[in-house]
This record gives sequence, C-alpha cells and structure tokens, in this order.
Amino acid sequence: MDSLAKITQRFIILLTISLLLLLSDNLKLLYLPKSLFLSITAPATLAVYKASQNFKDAFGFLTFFKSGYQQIEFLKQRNRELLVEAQKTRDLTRENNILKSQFAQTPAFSPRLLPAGVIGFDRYLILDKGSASRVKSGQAVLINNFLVGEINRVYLNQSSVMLITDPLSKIAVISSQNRSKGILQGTFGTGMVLNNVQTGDSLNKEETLETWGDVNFPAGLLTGKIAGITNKASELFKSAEVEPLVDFNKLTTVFILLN
Amino acid sequence: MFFWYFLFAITAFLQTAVMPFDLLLLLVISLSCLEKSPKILLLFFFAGLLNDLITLRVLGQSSVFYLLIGFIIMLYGQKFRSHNPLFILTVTIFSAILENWLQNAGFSPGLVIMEAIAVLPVFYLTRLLFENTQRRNSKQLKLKL
Repeated sequence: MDSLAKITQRFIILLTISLLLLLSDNLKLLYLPKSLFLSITAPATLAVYKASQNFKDAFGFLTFFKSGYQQIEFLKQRNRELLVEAQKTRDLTRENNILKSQFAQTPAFSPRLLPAGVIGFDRYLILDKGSASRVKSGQAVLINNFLVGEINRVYLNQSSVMLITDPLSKIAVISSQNRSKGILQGTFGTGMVLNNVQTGDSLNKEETLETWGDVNFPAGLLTGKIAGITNKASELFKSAEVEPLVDFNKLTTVFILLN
Repeated sequence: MFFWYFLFAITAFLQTAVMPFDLLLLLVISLSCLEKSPKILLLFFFAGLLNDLITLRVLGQSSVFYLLIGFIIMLYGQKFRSHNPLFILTVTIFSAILENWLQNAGFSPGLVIMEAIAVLPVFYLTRLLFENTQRRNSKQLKLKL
C-alpha cells in the first residue's frame, strides 16, 4: 500500500474515532472518564497557571515602570471598590424611599457563595470546583459584587465559566444612574455591547451597568461601564460600547453563587 | 516519536496559561509540512484530545480540526513543496480564521495576526528539532548495521 493510501486510511480511522468521541461527549457519556482525567491533571494545570501569573507580574516593568504600574493597579482596584460603595449607597437610598412608602417587606436574599480557584483560562475560565461541590450549569460567578460570568460546563471537580465578554453571553442590565434597560452582549475579545436601549432612555459615558435580575443573575451585580454611545436617527434602539470592570486575565479566585 | 508526544503535551498545558493563541495548531501545521507519515496523524489526534480535555471543551472537536488541517497539508505536500514560507503563512491564516469561527464563536484579527507572526519561527524551530531527531535515528541505524 503506497504512502498516500496509508495516510488516507489512518486519517479516516482517526477522524471516525474523533467524531464518535464528539458525539459521545455531547450525549454526556464521557462524564466519568473526563472527570477522572481532570482530577489527575488539575495540579499540573494549576501549577502552570500560577507560574504564568507570576511571570506576567514579574515582567510588568517591561510595559511600565514597576512602581507606576503598581500605583495604577492600586488606583484601579480602589476605583472598583468605590464603584461598589457608590452603587450600594444608591441602592440603599432607593430601598429606603420604597420602604417608607409601603408597609410590606420581602425577606432578605442571603446569597451562598462558594469560593473557587482559577486554574486555567482559554475561551472559558476554568475553576477547581465541580458537581462534587454542588456547582451547576447556569450559576452566576462573581468577584467583589462584579459579575464575571456563568457556569457553562460542569465535571466532578472542575467547571468552566462563560465570561460576560463571550459572544454567546447575553445579560439583561440596567444603567445605575438613568435606570435605562438593555441587553448586554459580549463581543469576541475583551469588550461588550449594550443593545436594545430605547431611544428615549438616557445613557451617560462612564455610567456603570448592573444586572437587572433574572433566573440566573440576581439584581445589582456590576458588569461594565459605558465607553461610547451610538445613537443613529434611523434606528429604533440605541447601543453603547461597554468596557468590563474586571481584568479576567488576573483572576485567581472567584465566587460561585449557589442559590 | 516519544519526544513529539511530550512536546505536544507541554505545549497543550502552556497554551491555557501563557499563550493567547493556539500554539498546538502552529505545531500541527509545521509538522505536517515536514513529515508525511501516518504516525503523525495519531500525534495530532492525541494533541487535539489533550487540548479539549485541558480547556474543558467538547472532546474530539480539536482532534477533528487538527486532523483535517494536517491531512490537507500532507495531501498538498505530496505534489507541491510545502516548506514554502508563503504557503505556511497562507495555511496558518486560513486555519486561524476557521478555528476562531468554529471554536470561539467569533473572529479576532489580532489573534490571527499573532499566529501568522509566530508560525514561521515555530516552523523553523520544529524543523531544527525534527532534523536533529532524524539524524539521531539514522546514527542508531548505522550502528546496528
């Protein structure tokens, strides 16, 4: 049998096996063997990820002077904390006004947060918690009241997170100041787009966006801030470019909302 | 061959942590241009499986992609010269665009450009390693004779 025929034969065999594996995994038949393999390789994956984070931190001076870089990182973190404080203050003020005008009170929502370590980052963030820790598909993932994404695949001891910047991510959001509603959709890369905002609703640059509250995401989680607004007269809705408030490349620990 | 399996495994782990682009794809393209034997397809198959397992993707999707790319390059290499840098660049750009659409549900020109820039250094490095391993194997054969 000549070389080309051998190559073609091997190719067909391996392609068939790959397609069978693809079908089996889609039918969730490979859950246990995959979970076992992931449990064995998790320490290696975590070690490589941590080493890469240290590598990036050590060579921060190549892009900026180390002290200046640290100062900027500190200011960014402080800014994020202040955004959370400002949002909490607005929410408390609003709630206070509502409670003053009515007698009925609803029971407080007490979130159960499971801390999870980040052990890898490709298109999805890979976490070291899985179904053994009661993680389920669709659960929200957050850090310091900022929404990171939602769980999309779950194995025994690992799970992956679809980030809010993923093209398949769509979240109902509301702007913090003007209370304008829209749908936040990820674009490929590190950005997002706010769509379906009524032309009569106002949006301001630098205004933050928070979750509106639906089945998966509770209300009030910060997602991003508006970087630019597009309002064409010929279109029914306006849109805006949104920057995320979290640097997903630097995450080491996140929290999974279990309820 | 064990050396290539080890190299692909290390690359698969490093990819998730350090590289923003698919380094395994560049290795697949490089090795397909250099070696035209059926054994290499098995290597691509395992590289794809490992990549899917580590990144928690559906098992088999990377294998299918790498096998297709490797096979097409090998077919081309049967008739034409596949060491041509222009050919390698063209294949890389098309493969990167296709991979972006299929696996990442989007298209990032930045990633495609990065892969196009990285492919030639990766190819020449792979060629260096490949020729070294070939030389070592041929020395072993001479000793046996």
